[in-house]
Amino acid sequence: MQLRRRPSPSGILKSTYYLLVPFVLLFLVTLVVPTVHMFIISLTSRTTGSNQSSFQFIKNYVAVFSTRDILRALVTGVLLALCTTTAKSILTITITVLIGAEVAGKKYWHYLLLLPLSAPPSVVGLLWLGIFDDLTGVANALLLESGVIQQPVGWLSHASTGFCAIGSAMVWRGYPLFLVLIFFSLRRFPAQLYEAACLDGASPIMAWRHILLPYLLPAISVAWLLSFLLDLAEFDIIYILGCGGPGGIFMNALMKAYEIGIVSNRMPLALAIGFTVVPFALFVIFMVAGIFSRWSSQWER
Amino acid sequence: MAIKKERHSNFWKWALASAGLLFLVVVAVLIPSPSQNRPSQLRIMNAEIWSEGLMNEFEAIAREWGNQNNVEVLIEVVPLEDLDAKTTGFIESGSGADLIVTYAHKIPIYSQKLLDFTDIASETVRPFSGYYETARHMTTKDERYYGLPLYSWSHLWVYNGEALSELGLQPANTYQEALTIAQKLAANAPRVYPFGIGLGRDDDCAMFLQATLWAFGGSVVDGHGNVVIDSPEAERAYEYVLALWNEGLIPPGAFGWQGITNNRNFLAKRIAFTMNSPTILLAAQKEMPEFAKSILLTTYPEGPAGRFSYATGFAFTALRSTSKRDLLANFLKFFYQPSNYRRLITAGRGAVNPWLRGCEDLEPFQDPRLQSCLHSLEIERHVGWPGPVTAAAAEVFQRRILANVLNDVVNNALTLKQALAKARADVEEIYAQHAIAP
Repeated sequence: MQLRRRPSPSGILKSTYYLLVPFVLLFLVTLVVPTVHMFIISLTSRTTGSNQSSFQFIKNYVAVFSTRDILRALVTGVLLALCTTTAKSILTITITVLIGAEVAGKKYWHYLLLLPLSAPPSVVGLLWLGIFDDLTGVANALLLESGVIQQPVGWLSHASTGFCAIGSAMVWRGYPLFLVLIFFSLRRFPAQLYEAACLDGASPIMAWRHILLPYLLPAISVAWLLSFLLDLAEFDIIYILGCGGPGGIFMNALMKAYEIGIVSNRMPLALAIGFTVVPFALFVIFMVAGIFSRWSSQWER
Repeated sequence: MAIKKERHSNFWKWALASAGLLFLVVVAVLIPSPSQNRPSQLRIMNAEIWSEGLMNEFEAIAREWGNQNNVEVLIEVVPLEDLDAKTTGFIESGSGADLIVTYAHKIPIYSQKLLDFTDIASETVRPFSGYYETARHMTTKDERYYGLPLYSWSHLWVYNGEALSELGLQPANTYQEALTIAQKLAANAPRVYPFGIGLGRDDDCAMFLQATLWAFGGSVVDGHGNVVIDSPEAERAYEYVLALWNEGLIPPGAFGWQGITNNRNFLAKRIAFTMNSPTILLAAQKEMPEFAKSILLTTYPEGPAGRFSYATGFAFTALRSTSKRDLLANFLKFFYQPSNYRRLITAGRGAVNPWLRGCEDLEPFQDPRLQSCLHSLEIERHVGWPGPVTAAAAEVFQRRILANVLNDVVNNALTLKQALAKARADVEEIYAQHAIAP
């Protein structure tokens, strides 16, 4: 009888690589091939519906950085995402502290706070339009009734108030993502650390600052980056709250790409806008992955 | 040796599985979609118009034809917000529904990818008295039809008749009268804004500004394609709109309005009149029947250069690569039989206008208010007028260059001349970009 030898660990590793081959192929066919195809289109000049096309090399990419509207949309999108994500993190930390306190009906607050997560962005947009509409909105109705203002305010007509309105809607929709990640992290928080600090004379604020916050930081970082990516690609809320704003001031890169590619038939330029955002998004994704791996190694320790 | 053999067999097993998977994916990509292989099926993409009756009748006619010809008819109704994206997807990919109902102004732009319908058009129009001029302009390129004109909707001035009758006023016949009426209404009811139109990026604003520009003798480009957006006539048109804004006759949030805002504010009686399609009347008839009785509809008022309205129309198109030409021809000939087409327009109850002459006697248009829709058909102009419908003209309209002028004056502290010079530069850049594209 011939005995079969157990395969070596490196052999097992190799066979697991073989297992991945179908998925790698699928990945290549469904993601890489269309991406390369679109990148090639972004190097051409043609109008949707036209059969002719000419190679333009990086002309569309130069246009992205030299066209005032497009550049503004890129910057606006990044700034808006930065502001909303930072606001979300501050709001969530505040909620976490409040929820940490003994509040009546604490269990139900959790569910209520997660409610915005269940609403699609378009519904969120319409809800906030009901607040900031100049003639039928709740905000103006309250301010007019209480005598604070004499004439309705055009919230979505001006850059400052419009950004606040859109930002509020985006924060409202996105903060539950932070809450979920932070609550999950809190569930595994070793409470004895906190108690020990308090016994050693640390005030609740010091204990929160030096023990709880560093502990939550990895979760906050991950939530921050995920939220930033989602806000960078926001469309519905910005569209519903003023169609991109007067002169398109609220437009982000995604809306601009839609306007140029889909509505205005210049797909190569729209794709160039998309590919300009991609390296930035990839950088953020790698950062998230790095934090995840560092976080998990901390857990292991 | 045995281990090596085992490893080899593993490798070949997975290599075979991968090759099989790749083969399946390639086959799935290469074989034509099922619809193209099955002549007994016709897929139609229809644009959603806010009229249930119209949508139902469209489907009923299509199904009737399907039953008679033993063809399965599949209808996908696409909301108007998604219509551009869907149509672009079909054009870019070269596959999709067999018959596409899309915006008519897209047809000259996409003509190289679309099926030539000239023969079918000449046959289907025969029982009627021809097409309306705008319909013909928007669906043809070099005198060939690449789409079959279906219907349009009017952009009308919609008045709260109660507010007007309180002051003994009549709907405006000229732009000057409109200003006077707005001033009187504002003086009478300070919390109701008379001139309820957005000045931002919504469609109603874009159509209002374009029609007003034409009425004052201005345009974006002239008949030869020269940019004339900063002409003295255009300046006068903008001065008119800015006067409305400066006098507080337009709501303060108008720069942030979107498509539904004017409808909502009109039905909430927060504005006295607005510019919209007649669907606002249909909505009122459904939800506020008493108020609906007082609503008045008129065509755009007359300006120094005449009376104009912006045309939004829809047409049937098909991809040039379709293998179902005979089936499509058969369907379209049935669809455009006078009895079927007339019953479709009747079911719309005024939400849409016929683009074929000879339907003016239909029941909805006996309502004096909806007769404005028929008058509107005569004053409608297409995007880019007096130039042709081009991708550049459509881009100027869609990127709201006309509304940006107002924003630059009101919010960015530019003078009107500076704002118009900026708009001119923007238009020239757009036209230049499209000129580069072969």
